Amino acid sequence: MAAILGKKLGMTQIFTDDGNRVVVTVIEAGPCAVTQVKTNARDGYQAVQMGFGDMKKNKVNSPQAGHFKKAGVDAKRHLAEIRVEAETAEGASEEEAILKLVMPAVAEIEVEEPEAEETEVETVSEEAAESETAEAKAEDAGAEAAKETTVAGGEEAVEAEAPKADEKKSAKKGKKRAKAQAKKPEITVAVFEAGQKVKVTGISKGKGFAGVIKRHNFAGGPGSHGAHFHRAPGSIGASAYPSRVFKGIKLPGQMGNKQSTQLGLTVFDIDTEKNLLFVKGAIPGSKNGIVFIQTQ
Amino acid sequence: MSQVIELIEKQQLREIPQFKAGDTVKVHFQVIEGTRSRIQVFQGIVIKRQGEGSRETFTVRKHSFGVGVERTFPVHSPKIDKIEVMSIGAVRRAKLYYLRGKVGKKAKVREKQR
Repeated sequence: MAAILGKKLGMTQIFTDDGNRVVVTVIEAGPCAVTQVKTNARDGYQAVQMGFGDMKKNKVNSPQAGHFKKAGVDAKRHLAEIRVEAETAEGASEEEAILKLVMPAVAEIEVEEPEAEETEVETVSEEAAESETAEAKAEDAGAEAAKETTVAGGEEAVEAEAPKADEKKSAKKGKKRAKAQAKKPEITVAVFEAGQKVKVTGISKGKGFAGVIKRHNFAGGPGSHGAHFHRAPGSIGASAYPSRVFKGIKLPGQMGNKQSTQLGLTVFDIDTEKNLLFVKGAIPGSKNGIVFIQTQ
Repeated sequence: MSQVIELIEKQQLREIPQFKAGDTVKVHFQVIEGTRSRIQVFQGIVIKRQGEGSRETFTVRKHSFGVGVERTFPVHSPKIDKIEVMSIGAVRRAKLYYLRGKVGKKAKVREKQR
């Protein structure tokens, strides 16, 4: 079960290796801080609450400030919750078991990431071989990657062995790493993988007060040839019986600007460095809208 | 457009020769049949270019056995092996839809005098 909050950046197309075009939506997803872990013991259900997007200090009211202080994270603008069902082993803490479900990377990254990191550093330096800043760049990439590991790995990673790539790094990066370690675990796009089926929830674009043709796909009447019936809804029921309008009759009203979930979308690709998630097809909402992505 | 998306599109741009509507081009296009792939050549007059960045496409029109055929290619498609510009046309429009109604000599575009 993976989920993350993000911002819709827009749509574009990407050429695949075999030359075909794929239409994708680009989402800037996470990193999301865990703001609360809800447990059976305390809350009656199990869930992880995550926050996305920083908030101006003066916009945080005191109840919010208290909530975030408890979690030990900066105030976040958008919160979302994901329900999980974790089985707690004897003696283990329920919170950790829940967190592990939402961040499967916690266990995996310790083993796999060191290799991935090295290749990353290499590729970056190859690309930048011509430029003088090659080294600086490579270093940066390395530091970034290290940050990823520790951030995603969280508390567990702190105790784990330092990744191999780290040994090569200068003192400056060591500082950066220490800073990253001090941070609480965060949910990153790494919780997803290409090919996964996801659902995306967002606020759909508002269409205002719309008529039945736009809102419910009614056919409408002929435009000409003496017709007097154009875009009106037509009959909404009989007269003497039932002497009222049945509930649920399709009529004009507010359309859009309402929560909407698109199911069955496929993750096309992820970019852990830039925190980007590529989803095949369209998702609800306008650009810069906040969306919540969950695995199905 | 978001800068992130602009960057993604920029990375996909390929080097292609300069051409515009009215030019006659030869498009070497990869066709995959089952497991084999071969290069197919489509030669005709470019009647439009549309879109920008990596999403740009162009449409080539030709006459094949007396029937007008139009084909649209993404400009930056990796399937395009190469584009050859055969001649530069003297036209005063960006979209040459008027060629669609014409046949024979009238469906021709004058070559630019240099």
